[in-house]
Amino acid sequence: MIKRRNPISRNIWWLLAIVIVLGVTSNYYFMKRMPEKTAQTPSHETSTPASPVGPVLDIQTWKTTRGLDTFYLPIETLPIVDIQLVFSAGSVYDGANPGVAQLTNQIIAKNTSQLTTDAITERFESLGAQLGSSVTRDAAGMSLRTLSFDDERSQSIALLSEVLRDIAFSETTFSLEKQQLLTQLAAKAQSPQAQSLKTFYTKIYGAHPYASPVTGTLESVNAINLAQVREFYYRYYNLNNAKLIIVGDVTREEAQQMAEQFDAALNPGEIPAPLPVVELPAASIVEHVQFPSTQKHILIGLPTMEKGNPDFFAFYLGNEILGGSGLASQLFQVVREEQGLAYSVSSQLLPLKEKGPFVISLQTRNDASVVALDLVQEHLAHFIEKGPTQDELDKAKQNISGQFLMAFNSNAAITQNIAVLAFYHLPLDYYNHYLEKMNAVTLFDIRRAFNTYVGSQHKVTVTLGMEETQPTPTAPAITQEPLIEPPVYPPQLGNASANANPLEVSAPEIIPVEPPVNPPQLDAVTPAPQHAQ
Amino acid sequence: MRILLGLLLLTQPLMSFGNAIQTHEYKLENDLTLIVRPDHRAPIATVQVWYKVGSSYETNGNTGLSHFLEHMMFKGTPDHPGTTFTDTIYAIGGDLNAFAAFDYTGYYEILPTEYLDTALALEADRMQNLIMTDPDIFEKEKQVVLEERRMRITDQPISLLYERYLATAFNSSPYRVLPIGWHDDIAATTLHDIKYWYDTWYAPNNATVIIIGDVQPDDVLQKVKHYFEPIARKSLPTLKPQHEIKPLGQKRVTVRVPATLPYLLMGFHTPVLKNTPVLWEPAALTLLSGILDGGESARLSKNLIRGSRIANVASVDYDPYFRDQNLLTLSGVPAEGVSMERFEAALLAQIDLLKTELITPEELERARKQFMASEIYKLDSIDAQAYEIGSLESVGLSWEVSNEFLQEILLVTPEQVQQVAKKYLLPELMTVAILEPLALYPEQNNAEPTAPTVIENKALPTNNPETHAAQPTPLAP
Repeated sequence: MIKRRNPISRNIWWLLAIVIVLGVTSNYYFMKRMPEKTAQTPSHETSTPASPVGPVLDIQTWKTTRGLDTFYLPIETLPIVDIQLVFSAGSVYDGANPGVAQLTNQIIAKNTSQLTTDAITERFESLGAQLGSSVTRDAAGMSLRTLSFDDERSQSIALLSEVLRDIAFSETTFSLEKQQLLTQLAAKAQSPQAQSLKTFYTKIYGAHPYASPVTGTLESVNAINLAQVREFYYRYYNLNNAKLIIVGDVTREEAQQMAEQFDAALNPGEIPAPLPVVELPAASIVEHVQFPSTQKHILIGLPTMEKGNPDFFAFYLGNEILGGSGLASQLFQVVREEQGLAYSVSSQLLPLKEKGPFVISLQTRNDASVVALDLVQEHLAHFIEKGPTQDELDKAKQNISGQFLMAFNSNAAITQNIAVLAFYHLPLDYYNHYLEKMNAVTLFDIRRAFNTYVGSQHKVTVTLGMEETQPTPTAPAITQEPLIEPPVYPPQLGNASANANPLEVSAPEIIPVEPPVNPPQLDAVTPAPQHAQ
Repeated sequence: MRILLGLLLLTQPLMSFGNAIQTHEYKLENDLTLIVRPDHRAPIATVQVWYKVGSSYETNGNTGLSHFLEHMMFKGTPDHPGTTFTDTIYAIGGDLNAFAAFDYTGYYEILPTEYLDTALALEADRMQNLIMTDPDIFEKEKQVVLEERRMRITDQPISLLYERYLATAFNSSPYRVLPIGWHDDIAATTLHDIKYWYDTWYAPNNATVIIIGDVQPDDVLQKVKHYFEPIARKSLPTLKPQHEIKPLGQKRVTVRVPATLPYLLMGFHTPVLKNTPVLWEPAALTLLSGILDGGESARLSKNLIRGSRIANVASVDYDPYFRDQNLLTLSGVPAEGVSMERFEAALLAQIDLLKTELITPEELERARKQFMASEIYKLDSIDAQAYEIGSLESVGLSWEVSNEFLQEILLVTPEQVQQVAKKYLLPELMTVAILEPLALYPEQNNAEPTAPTVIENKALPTNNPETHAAQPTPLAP
């Protein structure tokens, strides 16, 4: 039995630590002010001119002894350390076994040659540590949030590297996790949002592996065996295919030691071959899915651009104005405020390693869907032709400079953003020049970007709901993935967890006036650690 | 135990998160409460205005008013007509939204600190000058709220189950209705109803302003005084108690809708921090929830998902921050091939175990450690901090109660966890709600096609006379 210190005195020590870190510190903990730009930003009608200042993240990088890419940012204000290990191991590498990336990710940290799942989870949770994991189309990985006190930090890091180094592939765990995944798929099959999105991805990507749902299908998951999972793990969860992110209350020396521990836990290996190029839809597609819902779910979009595309800034700003800025967007105004046709209407842009989607989505009662669809299509055509006004653009730029600060207002958010930067090979100073690039965008740039990536291309329209005239319903669709990508920070207050795990009691107790929208650009590679309580 | 207590008393000042992170509380002359917590990590601040009104203040036939009013609060004032409010916040780089819950309604802006004045001016304005005269705007917004109800409740089988579960578990308590309200009540709401609700409850003496971020408390106080102190206080109605009547037996409800997963909810009436003379009971129930579901090593995962493999999903929900007695809810999905009866019995066996055997010190310590760690992690999010302060203040407790609660958490014993299990987790008085999936595509079973509007009507009455949710709710138009 491990000898335990008096728990009460330990707890008080934590509180004392908070006194120190929060009571005394008064400097911004992660940023230095950038020199004010004067001429770049068109001044807004308010008396205060735009001042595009943003975080200068002093991210340090190095390779470990055997070459693990490490990204480190010290933040001392809270006794917290966040770790992310991200691999090019998303569902795009599923090959003939859709769901294998997801299933592989689920069995990590469940067994070693010495430890059972019970023992591993007990150890993490006794330390107050929170272990998370996630899979997207491009990436898969683990996240760990731990207290930074010596014992908690060193033990939880040691445990995470141990479960990676000594991973065991247990049939029992495998069958359990497969069952969990099948349950998740069944839960998604009753979600109209999930089903419409699944069809949308299938239609916009055709033969490209992005078409396949991250979680696979009932059929494909059922067919996966443990050997395939083991093979996937050893092929993709390797040292050379990983990025390690360490953020929080640790010194550079401690971070280096931690990185070496992960270095020793992973095998060297290959980086996967480049992804196939995405072919744009050869013709416009309109697809209806019959589903017993009182609302019709409408999605319009297509694959557009990859991460790092220089047109991103123009396209992003245009999308903000069109439908990406929540209550303030044009689509919100036209569809909801003026017509009362939907509760949720928005557009999103999600660059991936290869061309990621642009999508407009809304839900409206079945009998209003034709009107709503016409309205949105008309508005989109108008937007592509005319673009926004100078006033709209100025306001959008001003908004983004504020949103940008919020995207870096917590350790969790900063960790997430560094993970995106690391995974997508963006320049280290990417965020330092982010606002500069946004501010350089002109009306012409936006019109050109929307015309290039949306206007001149064939689009896919998916509707899901009840169509009385439809004689034969589509076969039950049984797969899905998370909403376009897990939403990032700042976490929206009042998010009624409707988008979270559909299997939790998603008690719709707290209702925002408007569904949360994604914050600027900085989408997740892996979601933040799941919080236990 | 005595030694531990002594230690606690010695370190009392440290125990106060308030001292630790400098929380400042002020009362304006019109009785508006202001709470400021500096957090200088980023040059931003969140401004939140919480009103003590929510669905638990509503009465039958008038459900959903608080939430509907929340929507109308974005429709403008004479000084800031139309969408000026949203446009202004947007143009200064801010974000805004609002939320309506059982016990409160809240509005927030998060923005660069230099624009604090803008948010305060706008919030003070709509606390008193909301325009509610245009029937067109009102009718359009009603359609939006009905769409919201379809999206959140009608088309979500588990939400529908939860709605019927609450309506069954509670008889006299207003917690029986979800904040969004019943469809018919929303559809029948008049502009006059909303205006009455606004005039009655939106007053400085019924509001808490919370500001967390890169601010100086004295400076914030002056600003808030400037904008809010001119607003006249109102005489507020005395809320009728509407306590839940004592349950006299078990209650069950079944929901049959097109779905793919069976689901179970099992609820026990439990005390909350408010209205309880014994703070340790909510603390013991919080740790009891942690013992059952505080992570992957907790009992439900360990015993039911991994051990016996009876469950695919099993979790516990208990929230001590309500205005009145609420529910501790177990929920989940049985494993493939496991009947609902067996799943229910397995959950009850876990509850029984809490009564017959003391939890181990290791389990208790683990649950406690997770709670304490999550308190520290909470400090990473200004939203989470503001939410805790706002919900405590809004249910009539001080934000400082969270410190007292923390102390209680530190002191809970295995015996106390056993005691609350024996006292409150009584199967003979529980409410059970079960989702029985119907085929999504009944044609494949040679049945009649499901018409879109039939969905809400599919919850058929059960034979159980205890069932209260048996009345079919109105059809969606």
